[in-house]
Amino acid sequence: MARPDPTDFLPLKTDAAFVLMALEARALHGYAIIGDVAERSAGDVQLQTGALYRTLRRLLADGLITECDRPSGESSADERRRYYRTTPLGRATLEADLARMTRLVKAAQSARHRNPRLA
Amino acid sequence: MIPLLYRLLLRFYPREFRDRFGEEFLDTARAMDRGAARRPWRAVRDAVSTAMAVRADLRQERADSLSGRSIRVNNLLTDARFALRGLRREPRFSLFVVATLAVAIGANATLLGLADRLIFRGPEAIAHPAGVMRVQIAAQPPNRPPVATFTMGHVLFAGIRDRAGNGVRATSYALNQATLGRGGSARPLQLGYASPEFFDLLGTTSARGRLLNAGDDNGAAGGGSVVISYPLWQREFGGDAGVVGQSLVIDDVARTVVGVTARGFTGAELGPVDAWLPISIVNARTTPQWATAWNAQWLHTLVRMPKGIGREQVEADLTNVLRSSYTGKSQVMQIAELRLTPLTVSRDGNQATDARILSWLFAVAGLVFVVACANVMSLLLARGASRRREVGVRLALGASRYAVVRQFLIEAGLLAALGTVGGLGLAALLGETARVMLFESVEWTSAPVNARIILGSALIAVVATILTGLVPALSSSRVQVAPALRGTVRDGGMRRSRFRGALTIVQAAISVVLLVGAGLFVRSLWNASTLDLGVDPDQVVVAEVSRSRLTGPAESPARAAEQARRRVMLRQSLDAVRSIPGVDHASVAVGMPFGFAFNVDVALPGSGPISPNGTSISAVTDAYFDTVGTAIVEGRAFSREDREGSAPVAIVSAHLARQLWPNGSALGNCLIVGDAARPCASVVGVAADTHRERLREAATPHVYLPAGQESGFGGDVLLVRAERGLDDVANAVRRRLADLDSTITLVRTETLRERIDPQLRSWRLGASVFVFAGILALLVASAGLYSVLTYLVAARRHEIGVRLALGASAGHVSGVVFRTSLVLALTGIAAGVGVAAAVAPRLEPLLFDVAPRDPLVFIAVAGLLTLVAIATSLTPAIRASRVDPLEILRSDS
Repeated sequence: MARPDPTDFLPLKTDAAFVLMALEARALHGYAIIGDVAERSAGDVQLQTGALYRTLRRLLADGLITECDRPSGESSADERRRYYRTTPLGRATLEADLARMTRLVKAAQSARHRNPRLA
Repeated sequence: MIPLLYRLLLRFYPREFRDRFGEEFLDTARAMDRGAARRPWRAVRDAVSTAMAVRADLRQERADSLSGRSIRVNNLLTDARFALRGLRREPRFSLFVVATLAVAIGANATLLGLADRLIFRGPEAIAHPAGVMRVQIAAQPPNRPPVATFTMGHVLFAGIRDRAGNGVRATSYALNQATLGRGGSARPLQLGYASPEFFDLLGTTSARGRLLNAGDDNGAAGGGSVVISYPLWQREFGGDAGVVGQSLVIDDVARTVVGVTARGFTGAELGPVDAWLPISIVNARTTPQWATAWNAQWLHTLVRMPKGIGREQVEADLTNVLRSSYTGKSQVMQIAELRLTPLTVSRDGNQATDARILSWLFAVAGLVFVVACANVMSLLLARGASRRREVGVRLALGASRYAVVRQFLIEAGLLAALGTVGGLGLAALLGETARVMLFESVEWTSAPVNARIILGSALIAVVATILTGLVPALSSSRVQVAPALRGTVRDGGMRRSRFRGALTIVQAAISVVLLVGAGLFVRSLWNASTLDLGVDPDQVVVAEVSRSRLTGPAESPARAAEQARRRVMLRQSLDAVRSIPGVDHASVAVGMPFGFAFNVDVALPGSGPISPNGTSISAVTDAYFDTVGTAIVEGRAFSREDREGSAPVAIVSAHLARQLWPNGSALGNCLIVGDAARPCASVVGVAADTHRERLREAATPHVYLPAGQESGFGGDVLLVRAERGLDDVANAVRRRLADLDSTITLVRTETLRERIDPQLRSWRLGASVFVFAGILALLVASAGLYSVLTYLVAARRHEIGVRLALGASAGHVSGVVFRTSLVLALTGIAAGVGVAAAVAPRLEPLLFDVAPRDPLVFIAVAGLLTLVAIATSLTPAIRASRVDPLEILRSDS
């Protein structure tokens, strides 16, 4: 099988993009991801349990995130908790998508200058 | 609460998701629940929608991984397009299935349309019709049949109106025939009389102007106002916007139109009402003591039930009103109770009959539906079997069993949808016909197919899809991939063909039941329409005249003279009528079969009346017996010389002759007819017995007097016999009478047959519906049998080829097919005969002189079905005998 290309997974769904961002810096468990995404989006994106695990399953299947050990320093409150973090492919995909969106925003803004009616 | 919901809903996620994420999924749900206030419905929505999304993801991934190009047969639209292509490839199969379903769904949609009006919705343009009830007087006298009537006098209505209590409101109305216009353009009018509360209580509005109110309720004259119906407005005034204020002559009185009722409004009953007048007119005409009389009944009473008050409560209150106010002498009324019935059951019970007819129609349509579904199911099973290879390929390519089942269901759904479209078209045609033929007294205001019917039919289509599609779909998806691909599955699964056999048996049995019903009704109709009524009604025109009102002071000689002239006018017009071309005989009668009836006391000299209730009598001119076709069995008919002032004579019916003079001839004997002081009438003839009112009645004694010798009863009817051109003769009679007498405002003509016909309606209805349904079921069932046999021969080609190769004769092979066919048919016939024999006695009250288990009908139906089964199996049997053993053996190697 050929090495996957980050652009295969574009565009990312909003849920997926936020989860990749949340798991880029540190490993988190399910409930913590929901909290991080809510904080990151200033409350705009409120993931529900089902939606979260659908997204996690897809990202895992596509190899954009991976399951990892419990980070040191986390309390071992619950042995059953599983932790996830973004893979290099996930990080590349996220960056490719952010670059895509930046281009999109720029194009829209220059169009607005030329055509004020869009404003 | 929420974790529990997630735990429950987790079952809907695919197993592989559950195994991997289940535990932490619930853990997170619990954490969420602690974290913030959340609504359970949100959780449910999330869990359900993601469960489906995860399933879709998995399918998609599986499809993507199978090959570079994604195989997506998941899309409903793709499935439908695929199904449509498949159906187009087999146009005969598709057309047959769609036609079968269309007929079944069409029959049901037609009935839904009729029931919608007659049973479910009741009269139109009434606000909250369920809150309006009809008041019925009901009593159960000891040792006598129960009595029930919807008519009452004003005194009881007023009591209900004023003292019902609990906020119950009441109104009264009456219906009557009247004449619209004057002279040659006069025509009949259906008139309603409404009490002031009527329109308000029903909550109906006017299309133009206003409706009647208390101001119009102005004694016998009725204030001169009339409210006309929407159809009359269109008919008489062409829908003129300025209709209010125009004048209309009703029963020779000019009245002013004050308004038009809402479209579709027919009052509390379903028949058309052309115009409404204040009820005060009818009240004043009844009796001078109309306000207090208990012995006259002419009103129907309706009540509007307030919300929250039960029917029993109001019935008890109304009964109290009756008990506390009744001052009459009738013992029945003293024990009577007042009951409330919904508007959908009409006062004369006719509608109850209609409802009963409808329920039979529903049963018949249901059976046709079952036959059609059984047949379609059988065809789909056969088709599924022939597509085993295709299913095998799809399963091998990774399609799930679910996808295969869905494909088959979509096909069934598509067929049902096409069938529904055809069925609705059929219902539009059938509905119109059924309305005209079967329920002509109902004013239909909506199209036979409306949104409710379409919705109902869509539901029927869904049921049809599930009934016909599910079993074939499940059985087709249960294919073993490898043999299916190799094409070596041979015998189609005995279970499947046994199931199809059972379906064929069911179809045959239902056909038997329907055809037995058809046979019973056809025999009833035949018996009823060929019954010897004692008169020959087919070529007789009956003419009745209406005249303008008498004018002048009540006791004036001029008025009396005019009255006397009118009394004999028809009798004196007989010569003029007889000279009309085409008229064979004409006579005038007072009292006639299936028309007005009179009773007087009849006695032998020196003794009391022969019957305490009086004896049926009519007064007729000469040629009467020739005109109506009643035979004179002894003596003579009346001649021109038998008239007022001549020697009193009488003719008696055969029944009366036997009753009074059992041992000798009636001729020359003497009868006192009417007043005991009158001279004795000599019996000059004996006439054959005639039915007086009903098709079903025992012979009754009857006396005929010559016209002019009667006293105490009157009302001339002109009778005309013509061998052909009845319509032309009727028109000529109307013109001739109007020419002869300018006071005649309207001549109504109809044939005697038309008067009897309504009594034949239920048999005609039953016969036509059962014959139609029976033939339909027979056709469908024989097509079903044919397809089963064809399939059987195709599936056993290999076995047949081997048998032939081993020396079996062609006759033996055909015999196997015949035997299979006969076993199926005879089993079905036996089952059908059993069911019909069990059910038929319930039809008995609807039959006429036919035993419900009439052997002739049962034998004929069984014989017919056996013949059809034999004829149906001919082609498959011959085809079986022509299997080429060489070809079979070669394909085996």
